[in-house]
Amino acid sequence: MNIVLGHRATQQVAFAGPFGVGKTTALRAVSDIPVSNTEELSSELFKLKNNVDKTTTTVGFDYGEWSFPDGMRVGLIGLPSQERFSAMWDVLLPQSAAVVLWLYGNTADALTDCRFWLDVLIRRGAVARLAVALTRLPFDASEQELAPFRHLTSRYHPLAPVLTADPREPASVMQAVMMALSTPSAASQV
Amino acid sequence: MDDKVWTPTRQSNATRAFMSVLRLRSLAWGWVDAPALARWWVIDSTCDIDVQMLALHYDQMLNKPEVAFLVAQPGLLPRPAWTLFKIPVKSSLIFDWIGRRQFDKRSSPDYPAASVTSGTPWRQGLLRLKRWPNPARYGNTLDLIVACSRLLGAPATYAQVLTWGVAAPLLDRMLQDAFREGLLDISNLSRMPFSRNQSGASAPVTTWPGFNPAQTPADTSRWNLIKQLLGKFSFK
Ligand SMILES: Nc1nc2c(ncn2[C@@H]2O[C@H](COP(=O)(O)OP(=O)(O)O)[C@@H](O)[C@H]2O)c(=O)[nH]1
Ligand SMILES: [Mg+2]
Repeated sequence: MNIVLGHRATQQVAFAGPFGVGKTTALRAVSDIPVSNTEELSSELFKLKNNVDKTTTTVGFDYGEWSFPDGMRVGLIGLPSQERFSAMWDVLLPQSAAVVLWLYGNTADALTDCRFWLDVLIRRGAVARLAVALTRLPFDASEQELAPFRHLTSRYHPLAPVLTADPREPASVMQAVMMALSTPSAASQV
Repeated sequence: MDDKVWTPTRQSNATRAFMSVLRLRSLAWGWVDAPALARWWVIDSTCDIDVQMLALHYDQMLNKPEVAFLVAQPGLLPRPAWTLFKIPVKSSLIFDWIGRRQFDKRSSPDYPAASVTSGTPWRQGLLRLKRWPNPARYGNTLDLIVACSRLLGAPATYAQVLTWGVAAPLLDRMLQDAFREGLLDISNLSRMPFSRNQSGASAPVTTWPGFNPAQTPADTSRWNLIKQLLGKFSFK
């Protein structure tokens, strides 16, 4: 099951999480190209192969890109938040090299959200390279504030990072992405 | 607050000598103007001060400071918890005193973290992170992320981590928090089979560009991406 993101990107990084949390903002903060929604992309640049239901192909997700001196390109994907677009998750999540799960760190149901999204991710094999980024918290939030998220996340992947991050800050977004990419596989821990 | 000192006798030679001894140990030691903000008091009893008033003030404090009471002749202490120092004060006695008091405080459960200078167990032994710390606390540095990632994957000594390009003060802060929060494992070097090659500061280490724990093609392209991102996003 493969999706062609243009013809250029060889890898991709996905941003997941609830509506309004800051996925598009984070993408804009780090993308080399203006972030576009797939609804606005020409079908020339973006082709969904026939594995996505017709009714969902018109659903937008955000697309940004990194390019590197050697010509390598990495697609940056902002997933749609609503469950009725879960077909997009099915396609986009399994092939992502890293996933940042953005969550509201300051709401009462943050943990419920967290569990919901971790279930979404694990069912699509997308927790191995995951970072859980809590927004709207002070950067030096106490361990006690992070502990419930750490605890919950560890049931899905024992080493998955939980951090505080601001989607408006490029350096903060990059931290989250780097953590997701560089988490060792659980098996290598003794 | 760990290295904040208050004195009612700042002009006295004995008091100033006391401070200069403290600053031999770390430049972080400094005077504060409010007695309540200080963890340490230094009182030169040979100066013209109202010791009884000070003692009463001390009695009313919820978080009591450690008090060094400087005297010309050994005598009675205004409060038993205070520590008597005979002028001229020997620097070794001052070091003993702060070392012991810091240790006492650290072993009491509700006292916050000790300052970096007062105990750095991570400088010995092999370090391994059990979980990711929250790197946002230490500024947005990708070097630290790389170091943490490596410490999650395999143990290393403090000296080795320094060779990975992380600034020592930053590394100390991160390790201190990780240690306190139970995210850091410190194991005995001698128990590790490869300790002979990896124990010293001069031990050969693989620095970042060559470091590649990749085992599968997918891993290889991921590590390649990490390297590219470091080149693109870490400004020094
Ligand atoms: N104050 C504050 N605002 C934030 C933070 N994170 C995101 N936002 C704002 O929340 C909104 C998120 O919108 P958007 O990126 O479209 O969310 P999306 O639905 O996840 O794509 C933007 O207006 C951001 O500026 C944060 O940490 N603090
Ligand atoms: Mg959006």
